[in-house]
Formats: sequence, C-alpha cells, structure tokens
Amino acid sequence: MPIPCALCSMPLPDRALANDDLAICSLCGAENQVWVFPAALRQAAPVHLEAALDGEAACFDHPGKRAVAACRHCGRFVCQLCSVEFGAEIWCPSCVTARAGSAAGANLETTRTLHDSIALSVPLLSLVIWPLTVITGPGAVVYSIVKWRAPLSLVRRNRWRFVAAILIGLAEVAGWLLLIVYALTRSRAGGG
Amino acid sequence: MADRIHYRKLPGRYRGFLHGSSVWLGPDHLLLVKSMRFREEYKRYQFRDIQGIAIARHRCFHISTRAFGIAVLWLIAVFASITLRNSTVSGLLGLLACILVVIWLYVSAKSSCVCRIYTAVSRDELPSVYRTWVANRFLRALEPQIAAVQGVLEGAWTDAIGNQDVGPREALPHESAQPESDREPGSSAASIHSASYYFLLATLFVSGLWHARAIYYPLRWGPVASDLLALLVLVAAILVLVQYHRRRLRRAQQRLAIAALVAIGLVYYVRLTVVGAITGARAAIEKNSVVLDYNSGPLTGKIETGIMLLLGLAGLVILFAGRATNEPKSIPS
Repeated sequence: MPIPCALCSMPLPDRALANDDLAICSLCGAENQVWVFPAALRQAAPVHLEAALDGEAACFDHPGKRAVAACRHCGRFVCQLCSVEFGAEIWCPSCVTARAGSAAGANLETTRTLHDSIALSVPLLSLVIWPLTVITGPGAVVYSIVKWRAPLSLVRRNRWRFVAAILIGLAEVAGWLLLIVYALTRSRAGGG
Repeated sequence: MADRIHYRKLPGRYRGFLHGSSVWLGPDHLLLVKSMRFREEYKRYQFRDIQGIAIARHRCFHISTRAFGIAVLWLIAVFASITLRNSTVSGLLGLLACILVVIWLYVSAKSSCVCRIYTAVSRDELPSVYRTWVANRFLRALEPQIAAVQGVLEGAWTDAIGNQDVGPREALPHESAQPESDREPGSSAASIHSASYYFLLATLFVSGLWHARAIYYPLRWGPVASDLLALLVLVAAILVLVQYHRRRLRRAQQRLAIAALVAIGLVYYVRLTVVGAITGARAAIEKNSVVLDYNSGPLTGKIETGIMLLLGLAGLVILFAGRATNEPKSIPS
C-alpha cells in the first residue's frame, strides 16, 4: 500500500501499518507513525466533458460542452471542468478569481506583507549600528502611522507591534534630542 | 472580510532567524503559515481532503530564535561577570551552559521528527512540528476535527485502500536520479565531502586550540593571531555557504557555517558592548581613567575555545552522520 515515508517518500511496508506499529522505511530507515483518514479511500471522480446537444445549455467558457450548473454569483452556465465547488455552492472560475460577492470572504489570500513587523524591526535592528537611529527612529513612527490600517497577518489579532514601534521610535528621537541639547549646553559652557 | 475567520493555534512553532512556521485550526480547514520575517505565506488544507499524516523520527538540530536569545543573555551575563571579576558566577554560568547544550543535543537527536500532511494533490512538510512531544499534542488536537468531518477508518483499512495512492503520485526517491543543477539546495543527494567544509573544520579546531593555548601561555601578539584566525573561520564559512548555493553541500553543513558566522559575530559584538559599558560605568563611578581590555582574562579565552571546539565537534558529527545516511538501510524482517 503506497503510504509514503515522511522523510524520503518511499512507500512504507503494509504489515506494520496494518498492525498500527511503527513502520520502518526500507530506504532511509526512518521510523514512521502514520494516521490515515477516510479521504484516502475516496477515488477522485474523472471529469467527463460531454458535448452540448442542440437546445441544451452550454458552458459560458466552453460553448461546445454541456453545462452542469449555473454560477451562484453571476448565473453563468458552467461545464464540469469550470464548476468550482465553494462550500455548498457552485461558482464559475471568473467569480472566484475576482473574489466577487460572498467569495470576498472566502479567504483565498496566499500571502501578506507584515507591515507591523517591518515597523518594529527597523528601529530595533538599527540599534546594532546606533547612529542609524537618527533616521530609523522617526522613520518607524511615520511608517507605523501610515500603515496603521493595513491588513495584519491572517492569524494575528492586534497591533501591539505598531504601538511598540512608535514607542521605540519616539524613545530614539528623544535620545537624539537629549544628546543635541547636552552637546549644545557643553559647547556654550566651554565657550563661556 | 477575510479577517473574520478566527484561527486557533495548534501546538508547535518553528522559530528560525529568517523563516518561521506555524499551523492554525480554522472552522473547516487547517492553515499552514510560513513566515519570512516581513511576509507570510498561507496554505489551507480542508479537513475533508486530508488523506493522512505521517511522522518520521529524524534528527533536527534547529537553533530557534528563543534559544539564540538565551545564548545572548548568557553571553552578556558571562562578560559582565568577567569584567566584574566574579569567578563563582562565571563558573555557575559555564556549568549552566554545559547542561543546556547537553539537553539540546539529546532532544535534537532523540526526540525530533519530520511531520508530513498528505492530500490528493500535495505532500507538504509541517515545519512547526519537529519535536515528538509536539507532534503528539498536535495530532491529539487535529484528529477529532478530521474525524468529525470524515469519520474514522475501521477494520482492515489497509486492504480497503489497496493500491490507491496516499498523496500525489510522484517518482519514488530511488527512481529519480536528479542532475546536480535540478537538485534542491541542501538535498541529501549532495556530497558531504568538500575542501571548503574541511577548511572550515580545520579553522574551527585550530582557532579553538589556539585560544586554549593562549589561556596558559599568553603572547604579546596573541590577540592579533586570534583575530586572524577568526577571519579565516569567517572566510571558510562563506566558502561553505557558496558551495551550498551551488548545490554541492548539505543543509546541515550550511547551518554549521551560519552558526560559525553568528557565533563569531555575537562573541565580538557582545564582548565589545558589555565590556565597554561596564568599564565605562566603573570609570565614571571611581572617577578614574580605566584602560579597556576587551580580551579580559582567561575566561574569555575559555568561552571562545568552548564555542570553536563545540562547532568543530558538531561539524565532525555532521560529517560522520552524513556518511552513514549515504548507505542504504536493509529491509527489516
């Protein structure tokens, strides 16, 4: 039975799996523990694109193919190839791509830029070469304010990184102001 | 809005310097989050599509950012104790470091794993599940969710599955002989032998032994020689990284080179910062001029000796472990 080893993808021996034992890979020797779910038994249904006969509804994108459903959002007819299952509904590929209607909440995003992490890292990392903080301190404050409403990570729920970036940035600005005031006072005292 | 879905974090988190990963539980799917510091990538696995999960025991010598933070705090404490000349604290810190390193080595070698999730079209590794106890907790949390959607397999399920594939059909590892240019960087098919890697090991050992010698027989030009040796280690580590990107070395070797670069940078930076700050503070309190001594005695030499020799030994372990994995295992009876 071709359940692959987690390490090298070599099929694991049946007997150990049947006994719920550790299955030892014959190629890499790794001890595998495997959990198999009923989806493994489900055969993928082959896609049969039937030609549309005269008078039958045809797919919007494939006029020669018989339609099997209508898009829940735009109503276009779709063939079996074009029908996208969306929970209990059928959608056409264009509506899914455009994230129209309720597809907008479908969470299809595959990547996000983490502006809050950028805002926090810049003033912290610049402490390694501290003279850079003259730019990065105020920069972090401005960046945090500009990007405050930008979407966060899908799994993070608050903006504490922005708050921390603003506080650290303000502390760096305050440090520079104190240094400048101290230097000016010293130079005046030295001159007097 | 997409943000409306509330995810619950599943056990395990991979905290790397550049890459991180975690797995989150959604209402009807699993969300794999791969983070690249300032960007996140998401992959979703619907509960109804998950065919299987496999966990293979495998060594994983990962240094997380949390462990790195502990190392930085330890270095700061050590340099502070050296500068304040408190040998009891220094000794205790040395003992603590030894215990932590032994625990880390044991856990990395004996309690680590690789976890992979299979659907009909993907077989993806879950990097956040790399310790066996985390894998057990992860499965305890996930299994009921999948069972609620799919039910459970009962009876002789191995016969029922028969010759169906779990996961996508791909060429088996022994069937695919990849050319060097197609190989993924760090693949186990890459050679373990390389002049640059041997050069790195040699510089690590020579540097470690030189620091050890300098503790007992200090020379006037000793610090200069130490700096030159550190420079050689840096050059060797960079050469190893270049070879890795040419797909000629393995990931473990690349990690050793990164560890060497980080260790040297860290020791120098922390030493300069802590010794400078404490000496400066002392000079201000005593209202005396104090000469900065960045080499501050034999304990600094012992730390550098320890780090270099430890890295060298880790390099030797990688070399011998790599030779062993090249030999195919016999099929167990």
